[in-house]
Amino acid sequence: MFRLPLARLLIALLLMITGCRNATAPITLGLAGPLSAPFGEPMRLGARLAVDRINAEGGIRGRPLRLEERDDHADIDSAVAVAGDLIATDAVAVIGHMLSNTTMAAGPRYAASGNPVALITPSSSAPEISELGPWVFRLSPTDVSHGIALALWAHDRLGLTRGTVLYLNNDYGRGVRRTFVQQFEALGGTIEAMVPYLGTSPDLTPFLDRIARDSTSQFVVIAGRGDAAGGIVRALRARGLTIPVLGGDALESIDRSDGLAEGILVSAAWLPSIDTPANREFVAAWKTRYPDAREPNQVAAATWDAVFLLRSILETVGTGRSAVRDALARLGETAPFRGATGSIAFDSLGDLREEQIWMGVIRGNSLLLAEGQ
Amino acid sequence: MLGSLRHRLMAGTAMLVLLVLASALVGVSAIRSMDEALTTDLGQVLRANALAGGLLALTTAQMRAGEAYLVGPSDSIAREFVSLGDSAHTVHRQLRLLPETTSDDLTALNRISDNQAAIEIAYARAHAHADLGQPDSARADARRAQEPVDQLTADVQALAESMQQRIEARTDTLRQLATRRQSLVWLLFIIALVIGVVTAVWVVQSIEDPIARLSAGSDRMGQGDLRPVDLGRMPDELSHLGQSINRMAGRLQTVVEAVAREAREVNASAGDFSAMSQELAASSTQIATEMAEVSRTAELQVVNVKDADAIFHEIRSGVTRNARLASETSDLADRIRSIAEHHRHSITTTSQALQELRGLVRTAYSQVDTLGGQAEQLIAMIDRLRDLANRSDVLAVNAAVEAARSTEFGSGFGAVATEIRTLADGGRTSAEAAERVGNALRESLERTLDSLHTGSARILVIEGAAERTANALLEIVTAVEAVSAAGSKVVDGVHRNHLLVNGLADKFGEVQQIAQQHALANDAVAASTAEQTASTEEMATGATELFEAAQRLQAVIRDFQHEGTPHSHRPAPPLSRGGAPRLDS
Repeated sequence: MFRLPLARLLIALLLMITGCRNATAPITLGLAGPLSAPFGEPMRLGARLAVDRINAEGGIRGRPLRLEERDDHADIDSAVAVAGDLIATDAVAVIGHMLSNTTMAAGPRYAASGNPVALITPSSSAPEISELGPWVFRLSPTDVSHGIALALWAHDRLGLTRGTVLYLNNDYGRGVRRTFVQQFEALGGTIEAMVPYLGTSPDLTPFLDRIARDSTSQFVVIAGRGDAAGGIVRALRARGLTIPVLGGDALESIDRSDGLAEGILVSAAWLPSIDTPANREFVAAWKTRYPDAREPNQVAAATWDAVFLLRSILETVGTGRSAVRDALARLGETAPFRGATGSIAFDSLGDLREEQIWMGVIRGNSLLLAEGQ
Repeated sequence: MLGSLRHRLMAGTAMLVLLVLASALVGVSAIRSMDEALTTDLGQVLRANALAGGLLALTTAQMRAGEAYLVGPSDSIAREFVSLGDSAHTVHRQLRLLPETTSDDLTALNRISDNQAAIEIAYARAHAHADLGQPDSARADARRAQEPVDQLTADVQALAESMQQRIEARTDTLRQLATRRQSLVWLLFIIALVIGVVTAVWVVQSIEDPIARLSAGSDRMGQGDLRPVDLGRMPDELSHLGQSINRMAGRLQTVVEAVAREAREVNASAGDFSAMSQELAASSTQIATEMAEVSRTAELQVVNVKDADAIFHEIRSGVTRNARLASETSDLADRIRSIAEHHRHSITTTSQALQELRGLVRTAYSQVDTLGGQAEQLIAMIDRLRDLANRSDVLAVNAAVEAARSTEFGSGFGAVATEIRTLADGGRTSAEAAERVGNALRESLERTLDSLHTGSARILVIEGAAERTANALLEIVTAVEAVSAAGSKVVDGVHRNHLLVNGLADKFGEVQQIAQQHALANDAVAASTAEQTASTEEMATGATELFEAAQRLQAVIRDFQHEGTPHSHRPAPPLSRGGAPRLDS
């Protein structure tokens, strides 16, 4: 009779103390990607930029945001390990991974844990990401959109009918290759060869020699990241092949120092020049904060959007992982979130309901909107 | 709460049922959970094995396509090589998405995917070298694929073994769960068994002891001690039973006393009854004799009734004939009346014609009479004419006389006188002729009158005859109508008579049947009388036996009352729980 009210009182005091502590405790967001790699830097910078902006504005209900950053080194094993680490933290959601293959590798881990957490990938475009279940969302169009856009541009705009596809032999590269080949051949074009490669410095000598010898390919599509694409383009040009080079959005990070990347056409889900208030705000914030850095890319913009999207949700539903996931799934039922990358709302597979692809062209250090759009 | 056997049995049964249900629920739950787990795990095992096998098959097929390209390059083989690689990567994804995939599994799958990619790149390079006409380089590239192939195969097998180990671990868990559930079921079963045995023993004892006490009390009552039994504490149902036995003993006590009293009275009256029975037997014999006579009379009555029935049949046939004759008479009267009516009508018509004829005769008579008068006047005129002629003749004579006396004038005068005389002569002749005619007319008229008189008289006679005839016919019609009415009445009477006769015949038939039944009843009565006589004799014997039995009953009751303590309602001492009561205490 006496001990029970006392126990209740102690519990109430404990809850009050805990509640007071939680009222000012930072809210953690996980960030996973190749943060130490050059092509991963825009992701890290974009996330920090957004978090700092929010905290400067007072945080979320008075609680600051905090990033729990994990580098997956663009490696699928590391990505799986990173996923295990982030699940164990108090992160209310994870932004990552950046690449399709790392997202494919680590995605099931986030959903299968006893305390699952929502994963928002800013740039993984492999169609198979849609199969990862209800805890995975993405802010970029799928490779289907990129492949189709590239095929239409090559065939209809450039009038090209024969080409070769060099693809990074991972989920991303295979996705872009598959959708491009299907669409291009459906339009009547011919793909002479599909060449896989791995790594950042692949030896493509026999493939490029074959292209140079036959001289029938009118263009080359590089479905891979920019780190390897620089060497490929140099090798092509070294063999006197001046044929157009096209690529997916990952090509945007190609080394532009030697000028060989000039004129490369890139399918992009986002461009700095998109004239919307949210995009202008992002680009301005970026240039203010990082005046010496390269222009922001789609990864940076989508990461920025992911942080602000989570802020709006956390302000509404609190910090429960399930509540955050449910709010993400319901996004767009009333009005979509307007971010730098455009209108954000998810379908039942966690993909964007509205996907928009632009064709950009590398001019100097910038990725400009290609003419004719 | 558990005062009655019913409640005790229900409580014990309910506990047993609950425990059996609990055991069943635990068993079913265990079986269901194990079934679900087995289904899930087995499905995972099958799917993982299928995927792993499919992956190895795809890798092998891809390598075969890669080798085929080296032997005979073609675009289709190159496409098949890429397509098989895509399928293999799809299997990688499916393996990643399997439930309960661990980080180690994902790492292994990443390695498998990398090796798959390395194999593809090695063969792609080999193909490029082959296309460039560098077979040695091509073969060297193909050989480089062997290492990732070996690693991939090893990883796939390791992955399958890992999954197999997890399934085995899961199976062990299930086995332990099943063992625990089995122990629990056994425990519940043993508890149920113990409770069942305890309940059964308890209930049996609850029944056995009180029944033993009741049995002892019943034995004591059976030996004549009808005092109430002290039941002690026992279940409600048996307590009710004991109270009922006590009440029954009390009533039995009363009955025994009443029986003893009645037995004495029966004993006293049994002798009288025996004598009366013998008298009754004698009178029954007499009744039987009388009934035999009655039976014989009844048989005679049956014979007479049969004779009367034959006569009655003749009467009925006579009545039927009379009815038929009356009907014929009525028909004949109808015909006669019809004919008479017809003739009376003809006579009436004739009479009317005669009356008319008589009127005509009277008219003719009147006319003839008038004509006679006129003939008389004619005769008178003829007479005056003759007188005139006579006087003219006289005048002519006188005139001739005068003319003769006279001169010349006298001659003229004399001519006139002559003429007058001639005229007078002619007048006289005519008068005479007219007189003859008048006479003849008068005679004719007189004859006519006579004839008319005669005819009128005859007509009157005929009219009288016709009137009489008509009257006679009218009387005939009246008589015939009376006959017809009488005939109709006769017919009705005959009909009613016929109906009465038929009814009488039916009644007579019934009387006959009754007479026959009467005769049979008489026979039965006679037989019954005989039986009664026999029964009366038996009753007399029974009365004698009753008398003897009453005496024996008296003796028994006397003995019964001597053994127990009748007339006392003091309760008997309590019965021991284990055996029969001590009746002598």
